[in-house]
Amino acid sequence: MEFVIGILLIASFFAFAFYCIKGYNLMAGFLTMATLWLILSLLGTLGASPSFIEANPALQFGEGTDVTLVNILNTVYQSGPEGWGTILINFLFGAWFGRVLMDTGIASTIIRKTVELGGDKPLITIILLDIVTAIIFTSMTGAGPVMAVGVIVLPILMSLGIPKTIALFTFIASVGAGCYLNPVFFAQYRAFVINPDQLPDFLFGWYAQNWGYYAMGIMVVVTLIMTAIYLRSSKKSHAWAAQVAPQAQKDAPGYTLILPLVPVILNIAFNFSVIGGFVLAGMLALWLCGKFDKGFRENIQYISKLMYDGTVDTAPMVGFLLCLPMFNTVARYASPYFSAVLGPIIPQSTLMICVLFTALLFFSLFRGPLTLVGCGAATLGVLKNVATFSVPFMYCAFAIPTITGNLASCITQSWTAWGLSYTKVESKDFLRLTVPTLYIGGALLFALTYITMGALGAEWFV
Amino acid sequence: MGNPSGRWTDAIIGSMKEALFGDAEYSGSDKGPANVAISPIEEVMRDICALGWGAWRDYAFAREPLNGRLDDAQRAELMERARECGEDWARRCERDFDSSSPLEIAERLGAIVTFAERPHGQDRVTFAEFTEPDEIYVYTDAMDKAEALLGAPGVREAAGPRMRPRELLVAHEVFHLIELRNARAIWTQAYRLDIRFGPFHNPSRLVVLGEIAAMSFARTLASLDYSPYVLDVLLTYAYSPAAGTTLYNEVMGYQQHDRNALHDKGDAAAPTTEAGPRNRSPDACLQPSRCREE
Ligand SMILES: [Zn+2]
Repeated sequence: MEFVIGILLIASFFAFAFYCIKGYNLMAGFLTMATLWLILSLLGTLGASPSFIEANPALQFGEGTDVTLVNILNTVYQSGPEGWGTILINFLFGAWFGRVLMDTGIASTIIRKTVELGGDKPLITIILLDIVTAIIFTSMTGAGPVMAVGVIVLPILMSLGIPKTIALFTFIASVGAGCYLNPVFFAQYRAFVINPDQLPDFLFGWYAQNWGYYAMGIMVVVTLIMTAIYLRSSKKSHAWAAQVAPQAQKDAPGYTLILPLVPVILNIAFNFSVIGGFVLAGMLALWLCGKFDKGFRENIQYISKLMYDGTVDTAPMVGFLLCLPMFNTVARYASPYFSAVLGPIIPQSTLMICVLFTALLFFSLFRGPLTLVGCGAATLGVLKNVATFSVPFMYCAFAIPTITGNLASCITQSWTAWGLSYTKVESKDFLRLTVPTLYIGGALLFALTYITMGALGAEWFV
Repeated sequence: MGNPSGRWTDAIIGSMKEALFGDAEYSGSDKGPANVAISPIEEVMRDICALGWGAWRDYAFAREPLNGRLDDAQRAELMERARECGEDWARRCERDFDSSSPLEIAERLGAIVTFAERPHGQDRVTFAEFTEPDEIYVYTDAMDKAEALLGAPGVREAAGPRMRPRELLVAHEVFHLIELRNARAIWTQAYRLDIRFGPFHNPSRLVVLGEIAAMSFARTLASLDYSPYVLDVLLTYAYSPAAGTTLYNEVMGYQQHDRNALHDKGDAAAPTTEAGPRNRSPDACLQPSRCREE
């Protein structure tokens, strides 16, 4: 029986992957999947062999135990989403901070100064812009800031004669590189692997020093090399295009240009809270850039307005982010069945996982089974159940396809979808540039993961 | 807005939004394309077609990546020299090819001109493109929409009979072809601005010079009184009146700003701004040497 349920779960998993690839609504998809998997898992207990139930405490409920059916339902539909509240709040403040950096002109000043350094040499401008973009997206999150920086960066790149596809590729890939050192994404993906209160030693600072800095560096370099290669074989083009000019803002004062780094530095150096860092740096930015020049009432309204805009920026993913944890929780009940079927064939060594994931990186696209913001959440659940790996290893193994695959290469990512329509680049032309980058960058990152995270001590296991 | 359900949701959600987040429409909120008051196209065209050549200076340079390294006097001078350069090459083409038809000149230069339809979004509208070494693409979708707008009597009156978007777009791109072929001889490609950063010097081309000269080139071939930059506004307006109005407001805002600057300083800070093309005889600027390498 457990074998049959396992097969049914796997079949539904593929059906769901297809659903995601077709671009249907992810929130509804995860809600449905959570319910379907819960029903299958609970029905499975009726006919499963006693030894199977015996071996999996998660499936023991009803008479003779202190877990009721309602407990299980509550865990899935109440505790799951509630637990994600902490992650969501990080997103809201991150989006607010992004809005502050845009509104004070700090982000645009950084970009403009960078471009001026590059002069008229496209490759030098790209190198400088990619590095700066990666750095500012260590603290900015969400589609709003990507769009706001994109409308400055993309026209500049295109006006230098860089073909629009390459311009979009290099920009989005740099944003993705920055995400490796972004504490908001770290908190989010960490919560997939373990509960936020487990393993307190797995901190952002530790992660950055052992993996994050290298990962971001590798991806920036890979992006630059790939961009240079693509540029060599492309034709220069000059377009007559009109766009609404980014609002002519006066330059932000030079000493404020360091503020985007403040939340990240505070967090790494002092384990200072992410939200505290956003609020501190955001308020400083507003004050130093003279945004508090009106009366008290208007100043407060202004801060609210930025909060409002930031919240709107995150709105498209809120529904998805809050249904996803139901699915994550259900995976706990479904994974014993997966183990029954897949246990014998899933590799148990870190090396084999690195090799397998590298080969399968394509499945991080289109919300596939390797991306955590797609159906990868289920893969993670299965993997957690059939094999024992250290928490940091699991984190990195899934962060690579999620960030370099989904955030930086995939056309289903919200900001990439915006970029495609803004520059009028065809999806397939964009993928033609991102997929090789995904494989080359991903292979290097998995090598890094195997070296730095492959053999951690017992204290990193839960 | 008009339908009852719209009002209902506004009443409920609007007040909730306000309670939770404050008034989104507070006085300092930006005027993005979404919340701009749309100006009628007749008025837009009347105002921008009356602008002289130099009036587009700030608009043009706002799109130059290295603009931050220039001051107003430099911008005014470069604007003028780019105009001369474009005019000079237009006259040269007219002389050499015995034609002022951009399409014919393109053909004689061996360019491949392709007219392609193509859908556009509203945030960035591409009108035409030159791809090295010799391909010119003109997107007819934009032009068809503009032609429809030009059909309105007030608009055509403002634009005059010589406003032919198709020719202007081709002419502009032909200039980029000429720039490529004469990269060493043409002023727009030879000019360098020295970008300094501490002890480092980085002499750089300014991409905007090619754009301005291409406008001047197109304007001379078409014998237009005003700058072809008018098409930026007209074609964008054809897609989205809001986005077009935003561009219009941007251009007109610069005029206001310049007038204030003049007023504040009490002298002509940028004399070329006022020197419209109509004040000059057409050959006054035919100084080939100025178009050559410096
Ligand atoms: Zn051009």
